[in-house]
Amino acid sequence: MNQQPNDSIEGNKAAQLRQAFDSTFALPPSGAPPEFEDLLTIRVAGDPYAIRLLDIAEIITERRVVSVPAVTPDLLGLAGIRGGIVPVFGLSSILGYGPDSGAPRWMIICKSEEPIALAFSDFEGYLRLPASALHADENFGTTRDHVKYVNQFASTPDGVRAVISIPLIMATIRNRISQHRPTKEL
Amino acid sequence: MNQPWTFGKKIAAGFTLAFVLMAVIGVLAYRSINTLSNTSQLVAHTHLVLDRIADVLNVLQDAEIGGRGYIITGDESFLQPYQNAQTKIVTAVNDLRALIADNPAQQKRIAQAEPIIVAKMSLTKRQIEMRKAREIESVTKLVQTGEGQKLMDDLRRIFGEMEQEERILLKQRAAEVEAAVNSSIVSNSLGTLLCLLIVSAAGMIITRSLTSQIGTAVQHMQSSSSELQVASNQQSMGSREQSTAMKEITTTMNELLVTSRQIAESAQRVAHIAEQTAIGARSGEQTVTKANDSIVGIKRQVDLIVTHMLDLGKKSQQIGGILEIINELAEQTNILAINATIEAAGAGENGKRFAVVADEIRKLADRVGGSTKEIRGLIDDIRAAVNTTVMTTEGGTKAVEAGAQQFSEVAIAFRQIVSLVSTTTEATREIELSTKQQSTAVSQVNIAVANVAQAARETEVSSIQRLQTATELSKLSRDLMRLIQPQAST
Repeated sequence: MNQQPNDSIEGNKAAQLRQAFDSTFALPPSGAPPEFEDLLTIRVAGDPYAIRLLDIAEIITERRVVSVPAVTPDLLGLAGIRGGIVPVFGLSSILGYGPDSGAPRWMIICKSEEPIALAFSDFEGYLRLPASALHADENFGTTRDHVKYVNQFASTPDGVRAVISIPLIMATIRNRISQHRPTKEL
Repeated sequence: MNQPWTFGKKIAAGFTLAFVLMAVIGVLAYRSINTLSNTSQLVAHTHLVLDRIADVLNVLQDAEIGGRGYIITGDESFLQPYQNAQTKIVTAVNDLRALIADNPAQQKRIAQAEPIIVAKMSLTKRQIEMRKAREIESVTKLVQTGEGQKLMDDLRRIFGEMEQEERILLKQRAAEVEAAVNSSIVSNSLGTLLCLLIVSAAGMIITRSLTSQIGTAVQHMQSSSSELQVASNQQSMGSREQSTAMKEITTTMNELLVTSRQIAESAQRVAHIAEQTAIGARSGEQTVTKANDSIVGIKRQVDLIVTHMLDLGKKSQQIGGILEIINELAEQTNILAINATIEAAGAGENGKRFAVVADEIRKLADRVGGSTKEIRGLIDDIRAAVNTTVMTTEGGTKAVEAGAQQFSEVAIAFRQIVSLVSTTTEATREIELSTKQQSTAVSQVNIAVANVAQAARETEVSSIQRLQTATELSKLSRDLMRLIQPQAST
């Protein structure tokens, strides 16, 4: 008796989804697209963060990470991605929260010549914000690790999120590697 | 072996002794009398022999006298003695011979006499015949020859010898008779005297012994009669007390009889109530059995509900698994869409339309993910509800099982109640029956007690009589003692 309304609700939702999907392609493309910033929303040690989509090359999940001896504790190991071996660093360790309690499920491939993966535990989703929603960090440059790599804040419907600067993390990693391997640059 | 002789033995011994002595005296007297009788018979025999000798001589003298008279007178009337003598002489001689058959000397003499008798009788016969023939001279000559006289003298001599011998025998036998008489007198006198002495001695001994024993017995009897008096007195008192106690017992037994009847009536009422209780308990047992069956049916339905709920839980779990796959697919789609957006952004202007498609796909994946989250929430709610329902149902099942168990226990309790009530009923009936039997028994006991009371009264009466008897017995024993020992009574 009560299944029919639920079924109708679910059916309406599917129809709405179908209609929304179809309506996107039914309209002609707009001429001047507005300025948007695509962000990935994540949580590190429970704190909300955002990653600019343009800073990454790919997001992947559930890849096996093989531990290797390393001079830096941030290096979790190596993972095989798209036929290549990619070093995987722990974003929680880099941000100063310490290593994750378990193996991080998510990882992003940073956009660079030599791919580097940053692993984290909680992926929340995708967020497209207008460019005006991003603000520069006034306290940028402090010594606190989890703030050290944040150069912007994004005002989201759920609140303000710190935007992690992937290039800064990449530069830091590259510097650390270069310190321990002076004979060869990355 | 050394036990004293009884009165009977002693008296019998005394009488036996007297009897033996009298028997000895009797035997001696018998022997003496027998001897005397034999001797007297011999004397009589000798007298008879003497008589027969005299008879023979008389017959011969009659024959001679008769013949002589006829010869002298010629009168035949004188022949009568002769003719009688001819007949008698043979009988007389034969009798004499028979009498002296035990005496050879006399037999010899009779044998000598017989030819002479024949010769004498022949001579007399010839003289008579000669007289009849009137031969007087011949007869006179014959007489004068003295032959007849000689024959008679020989016969007188022979019979005189015989008579002499018989006289001697008679004298001897008379002496024997006298000796036998004397012997009999002596033996009888001495035996009688001896018997008197012995019997007197035995009588004295027996009298003394009996006096002593009877005196002792009488003394014992006196003491016993005294004790019997005391005992009879006590028994009389006891019988009186027993009679009083029997009256009290009769009263108590009557009360007990009334109580037993009341108990029997109560037991009957209890049995009736127990029967009603048993009927109620059986009805309760049936009701409980039906309720138990209903509970078993409820349990079966609840088990089915649990099974269905578990199936629902499994199905929801399967839906959750499928939803997990859908969520994963949505997540992968989202990732692909993000990656496509990245790729589209990297493609510059050419990737803008692809970016739109990727964005829409991502949105769709986001919405699918949201929907899956909602569905997951709903499924979780369903699973939680199912779990709660299952747990509640299991609790209900346990409660039903507990209820069924309790109903089974109640049914068992009802059966036990029925059994116990049946037992109670039977016990009550037994009590009723026993109480009725007890009432009957009490009535019988009451009758018996009345009989015993009557017997006690009779015992009391008989005790009084026994007391009187004991008193009389004591008096009698004193009299008896006075009779036995006169000096003791003074």
